[in-house]
Amino acid sequence: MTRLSRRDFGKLLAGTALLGSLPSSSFAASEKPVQGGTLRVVMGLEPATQVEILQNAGGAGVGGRVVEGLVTEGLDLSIQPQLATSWSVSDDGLIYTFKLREGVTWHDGTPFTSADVAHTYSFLKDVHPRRRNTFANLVKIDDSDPHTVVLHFSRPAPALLPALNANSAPIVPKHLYEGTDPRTNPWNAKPIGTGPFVFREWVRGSHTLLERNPNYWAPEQPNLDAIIIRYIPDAVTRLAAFEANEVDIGYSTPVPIGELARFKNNPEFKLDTEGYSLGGGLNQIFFNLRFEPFKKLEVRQAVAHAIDINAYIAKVWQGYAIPSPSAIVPAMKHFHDASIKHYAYDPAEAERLLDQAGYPRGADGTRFTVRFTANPFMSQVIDGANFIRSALAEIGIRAEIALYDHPTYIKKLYTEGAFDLDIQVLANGYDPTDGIQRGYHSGNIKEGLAWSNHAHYSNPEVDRIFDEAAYEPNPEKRRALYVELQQILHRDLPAVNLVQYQPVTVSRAALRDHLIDQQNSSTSYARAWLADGGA
Amino acid sequence: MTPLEIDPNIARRYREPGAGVFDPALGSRNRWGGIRFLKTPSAALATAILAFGILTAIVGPILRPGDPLRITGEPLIQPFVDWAHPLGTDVLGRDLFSGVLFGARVSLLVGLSVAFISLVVGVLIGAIAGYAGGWIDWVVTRGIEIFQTIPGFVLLVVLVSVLEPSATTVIIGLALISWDAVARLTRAEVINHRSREYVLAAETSGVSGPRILFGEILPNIAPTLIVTASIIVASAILAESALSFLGLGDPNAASWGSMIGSGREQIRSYWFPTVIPGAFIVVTVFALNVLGDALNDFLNPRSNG
Repeated sequence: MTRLSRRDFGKLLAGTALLGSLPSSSFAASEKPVQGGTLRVVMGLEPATQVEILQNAGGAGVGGRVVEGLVTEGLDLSIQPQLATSWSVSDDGLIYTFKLREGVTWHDGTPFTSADVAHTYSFLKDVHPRRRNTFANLVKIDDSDPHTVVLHFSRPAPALLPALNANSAPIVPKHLYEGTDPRTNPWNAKPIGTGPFVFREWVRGSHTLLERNPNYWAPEQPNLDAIIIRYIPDAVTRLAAFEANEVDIGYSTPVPIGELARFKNNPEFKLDTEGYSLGGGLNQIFFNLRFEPFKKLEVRQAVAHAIDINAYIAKVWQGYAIPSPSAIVPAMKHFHDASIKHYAYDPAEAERLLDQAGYPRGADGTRFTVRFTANPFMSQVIDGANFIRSALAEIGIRAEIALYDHPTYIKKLYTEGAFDLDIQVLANGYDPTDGIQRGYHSGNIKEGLAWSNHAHYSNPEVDRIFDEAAYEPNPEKRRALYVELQQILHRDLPAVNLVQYQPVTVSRAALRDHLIDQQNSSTSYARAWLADGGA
Repeated sequence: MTPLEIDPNIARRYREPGAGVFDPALGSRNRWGGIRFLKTPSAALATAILAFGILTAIVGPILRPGDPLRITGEPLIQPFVDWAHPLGTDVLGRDLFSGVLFGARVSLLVGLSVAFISLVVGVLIGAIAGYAGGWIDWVVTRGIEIFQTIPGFVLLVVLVSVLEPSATTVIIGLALISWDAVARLTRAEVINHRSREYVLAAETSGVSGPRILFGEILPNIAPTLIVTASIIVASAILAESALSFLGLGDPNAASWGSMIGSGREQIRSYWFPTVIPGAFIVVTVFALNVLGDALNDFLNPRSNG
């Protein structure tokens, strides 16, 4: 029993009175932002370059803090203005007209005009792996008016707007990129943008420093004086950094997933799951359809029947995932087909299917041995591989896990095709044309190309749907096409889709108004502020 | 036996007094040596621990049949709570007791194989270089130096990441970074013994080079090599654990290091998935080091002071 002295009791009373006297609205969103302070962001992977014009790895570089896009996506997935103030689409879906914000200057003082947009988009079409697809049918960019950009497409581009944000298609200044190879332009490492923060320095292996842009186009923004982005590759070290109050925010589950509970119960921290809808994180198992035994549909069905998805979510993802039986994740609600369910967890049925397929158990109980690869990008995928390996052992399939470092993994899978089963986190992206098509379209069976159709799945019907839906301007018809596609994929089973995982943002509770869009780690922090002025 | 071969007993008489060499033929020490050795408390303890380790490695599969990586229970059961999982379970629900039993096999297999391979290779190369001398010695010494200048663990990491990670790869990689020390030691010892009188005596009696080397010199330098072997076993177990900890071991086999690696992320909330296999490594390596010291004291009278 705790003994309380009279003096302690008096202190306790005074404390309670003080607490009671605080206005109840002190934690409401209507608080007046505090000016100043330095925000400390922690990231796991240090980017190869600071501007996202060559890749789309997500969360890399300075993001929307320094460079901006024409538009941004709100938390409700609505398209909101950024460098464009308004836009319109012609009825045939071929011409997009953007009105640009006036009075915007680059960080070096040069005025921002439509020529910058035109120049950036024309080279993104060549160098950016994903915008190649977005701008494939872009035939002409009209920048004759300095505050208007008109994009002319030869075929409708229904998925254009979500691809024009600060992370997917950041606008960089024409006067620094004209006449250079954008891949090797030195300004990629010290970007000049239009965003709320100015790039100051990048110390490789340590951090990137950004400072407040006093001439930002949005009045009274930003609130913060500076942002420091620290690179800490190890999750346990990041956990220690949070607990030692050395960082304020980290994205995509910055700490070991099992340790999130410690933050959940700590009032000094806040966990957020919003802001990840454009990523479409999907965890699935691909089969190599070129070889026996997974050439046979029954064998693939048996694998699907061997997985207890609820146990998988609880053990591998510690609850931070929801079932995604379909190739299009539930987060992509315009297209997801909720009528598709996982194959029932039924090991007996799985065994029956394997017997039927001609793979009886051998003398040691094993039916056959397969090579099982796992994407080393996330530790949960390795855990997932161990879970699936154990589940397959129950039905007599010996799955031998082979773990490689990232470059070797890509070479083994996409160049050599040296796998039978592959547990993967091939994300959906913001649109089926962005993240799903690459994995299943037979036109994307490309030796040596990472994240292509390595299962060698080929179905003319699926190809037709992808080709049609990509240019279908009518949202209803587009949805119908993708629903049909999901049902075919569920039947053909070139992959068993497991879960849509939920990345979590960990932040100090003193950090406010940082969650304003779907950009997660690339967000601008234009309105963010630190209630305690920063630690 | 060739008629010119000298009686080893004659050769022995020419040995320097107090040279401190191990003599397998010396009756008294040989007959009672084992027991006398075990009378040292530290040596007895180390031997007992290692004997127990070898025993668990052998009976482990009988106690806990099946693949230790199978998910058999709820995740993160505390140790000594559920007798179906006496040491608890890890984050995926794998039994830690099965894991450490299987890990003992992996560790001992790796440790003993590495020691065996590096002894065979190292002794052969070192002995030939030391005995032959001349340009052969020069070439071999430079070769050993190349291996000694490469940071061993870095070479090991590169090897297992380039090759497929498996127990065989790990054993070969570890042998590759361990043999050079044996070779250097053997060479030095052989050069030391080469000019001793018993060797000269054997030579004058016309005993062939290989016979002198393997029949006379090697038995005399055996104690040093036995001590070295115990250290190699210990460091091989440590290196294997470090590799598995980094995720570079065989992903299809439980090992103490890989158990620590997968438990590391929960260490702030759950101590047992890391501490239990860690304790097994500490105890085993400690026992091997104590054994090495005790053997050194026992076999090398000069170090007794």
